[in-house]
Amino acid sequence: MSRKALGILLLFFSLQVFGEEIVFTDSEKSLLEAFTPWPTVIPADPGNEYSGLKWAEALGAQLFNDPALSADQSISCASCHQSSKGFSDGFALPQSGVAPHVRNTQGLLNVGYQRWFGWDGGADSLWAASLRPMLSDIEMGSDIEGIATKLRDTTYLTEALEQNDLEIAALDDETVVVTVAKFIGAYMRTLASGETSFDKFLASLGVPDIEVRYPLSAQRGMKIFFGEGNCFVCHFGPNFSNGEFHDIGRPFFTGVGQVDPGRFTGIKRVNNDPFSLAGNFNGTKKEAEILKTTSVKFRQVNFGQWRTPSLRNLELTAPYMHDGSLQTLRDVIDYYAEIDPARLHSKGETILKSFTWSEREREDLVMFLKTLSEK
Amino acid sequence: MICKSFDVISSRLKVILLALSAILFGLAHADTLPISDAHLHYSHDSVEMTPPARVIEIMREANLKMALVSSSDDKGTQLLLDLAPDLIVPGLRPYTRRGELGTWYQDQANLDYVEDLLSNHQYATIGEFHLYGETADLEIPKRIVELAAEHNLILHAHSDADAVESLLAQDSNVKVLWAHAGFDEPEFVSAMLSKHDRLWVDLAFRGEVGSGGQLSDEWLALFKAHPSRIMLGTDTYTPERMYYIPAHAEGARVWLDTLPEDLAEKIAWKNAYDLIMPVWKQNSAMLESSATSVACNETDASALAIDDQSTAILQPDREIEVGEAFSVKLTVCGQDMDSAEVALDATMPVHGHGMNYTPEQTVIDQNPDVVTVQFDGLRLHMPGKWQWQVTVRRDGERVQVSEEFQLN
Repeated sequence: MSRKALGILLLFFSLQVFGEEIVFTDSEKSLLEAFTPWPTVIPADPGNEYSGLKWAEALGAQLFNDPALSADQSISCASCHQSSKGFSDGFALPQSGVAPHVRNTQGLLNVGYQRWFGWDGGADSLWAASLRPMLSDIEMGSDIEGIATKLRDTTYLTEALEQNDLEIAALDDETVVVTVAKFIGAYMRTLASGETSFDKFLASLGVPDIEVRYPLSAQRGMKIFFGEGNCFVCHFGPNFSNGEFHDIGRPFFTGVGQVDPGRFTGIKRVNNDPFSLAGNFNGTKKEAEILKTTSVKFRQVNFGQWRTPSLRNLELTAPYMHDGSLQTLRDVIDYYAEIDPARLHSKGETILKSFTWSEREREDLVMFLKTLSEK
Repeated sequence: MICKSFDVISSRLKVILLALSAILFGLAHADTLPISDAHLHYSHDSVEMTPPARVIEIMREANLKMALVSSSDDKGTQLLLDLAPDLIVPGLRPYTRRGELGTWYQDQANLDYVEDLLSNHQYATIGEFHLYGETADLEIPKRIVELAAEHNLILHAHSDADAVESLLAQDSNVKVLWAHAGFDEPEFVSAMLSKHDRLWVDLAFRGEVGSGGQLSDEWLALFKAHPSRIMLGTDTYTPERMYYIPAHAEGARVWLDTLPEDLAEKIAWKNAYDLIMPVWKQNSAMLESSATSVACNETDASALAIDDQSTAILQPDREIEVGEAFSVKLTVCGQDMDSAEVALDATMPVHGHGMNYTPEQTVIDQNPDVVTVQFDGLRLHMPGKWQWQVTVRRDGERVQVSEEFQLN
């Protein structure tokens, strides 16, 4: 028997005999506090005067599923954002739009916790993010006039507006479409996921006499995630996203001689967006919210950055990355473990480095990530 | 000799007995479910009847982990806060005396009183106040909601459902703690909680909850449907009821004991603690920050030396949290400051980057001795080691100094 095999056998027996116990230090527990509580209140959609109103949310849900918003009335928001898949579509790249797309459909669960919306953060509110696909040449292919014309004949909408003292005939086309986008934004804010086994385990840490069944493998993975892996630094907070943008070295060519530069485009989009919080359609005009948009910094490093996705309910939203190029969670872990330093600028995200993680450590990380999904 | 020995033994015995009783007291509390009491008042008549130290003693006897106290007038709250800042979370009650609950929302004096207190103290909540139906839409209550939004305060409302809905609708971020669960039926309370995710309830003065040590099916259903939104409260609305705090806690523990352990803990203390304590921590940090008045002739240990003759003092407006926007007041003291330009940045040297935002800056004060600039919209988006960088340009010279700090 080789020495390595003997070692594994001894480890196996020692775990069987003595049982493995993962201990979390006080400093780890202190760090973990930043990942609670969950669920928590989702902030209002900025600039959206209808955010939080039940009737607007219900109307938004209807509109989200209404193909009238697309040019040929064949697809709705829900065509790509399917609830059974965490409001993503299961494809690497969307298959439902009017022309080929180069970005993976992002899941929408917990999207209301984000600060910027879309892979490039090209929208600064949920309602602005709702407008973009409607007016995009490669997504729903509509225009303001076309959508407004159809909406003016949409009975459920006109009736609901009347019930809430809004008369569609009194609104110009642009206001009609923005108002509808705000209803959809109000609805998207409600798309929240619940407590996971990770949350239950976290709540039990340090509380005597409460035992929560949480796989040892996940606990080991958790140690790596919050330890040497430093994954928590960007995937920070209860929603496991710091809401900002990073370059982790993924390729972003979209064809020969064509690139999708991510955040670089996103900032330009926001700066030129008449529907941003700095524009005239902001319905709440809160200075602190507008400051987010007006103070965002445009830098060279933005070229090839993508928004840190939440890790909650990941199991529903495969494949992964901005272009859907990694099929499984294991692929994602392998990518980070074997990251190519040559892809990272020396002034870039220096926290990224390769690891010599064993098979078991990689599977432990996958197991941990799976516990961030509701069962 | 014998007597002396006996005295020594006696005094040693006393020490041992005291130590033992302290241990036993601690052990007893270790087994006692902590309670967060989210509905306490220590008003002017209570202050006259029971000294603040005794009130704290009563609260500790009850093994309170947190006590949300609002009082008419505010003096009682401040007395308790001074004595036990680890236990007391202050709420701002808009009344100067008991008995203003039916008039306050039409009396400008009450609003002035609130605004005056807000300019001198920090709180976690505004309330408990009384509003019913359309009174919530009057000018003074509307201003109260605005103040809650401006000062990061939770509204503690003794109200009917209509008024609660009106308060929630007035600001899309404001949170409401619904006192006494509105004295409504559990099914209706459950529907309200389902309808509004910014609503929590306290169970103060709801004697039917856990009456006889048992919970009815209706209350149990409410707790299971909304395990994170319910909290306890004694409601010390008369001086005598200060002494009811331990009995209330003990009574609650009886019916809490019939619940699954994690649900019992949530209702006993975690829900109130998780809702109110983060708000209080943030607001009290602002208090500490604003309390540190900057005067160039005072020695400030936290001052950053720019050069031999000038120093910089940084004052964040709140406890800095990862990803949350905040402001910083930068004061640079020295000579010829009337022509100086100052800049502030934050970087993560280990990560090779800094903030993703350029803060907006406003000069607050500038004269030959000092320049003070307010920077708004700073946001540090990752935990770890950050570095302040202060740059001062003066007479064609540029000096930059840095200071490291840890953000967790």
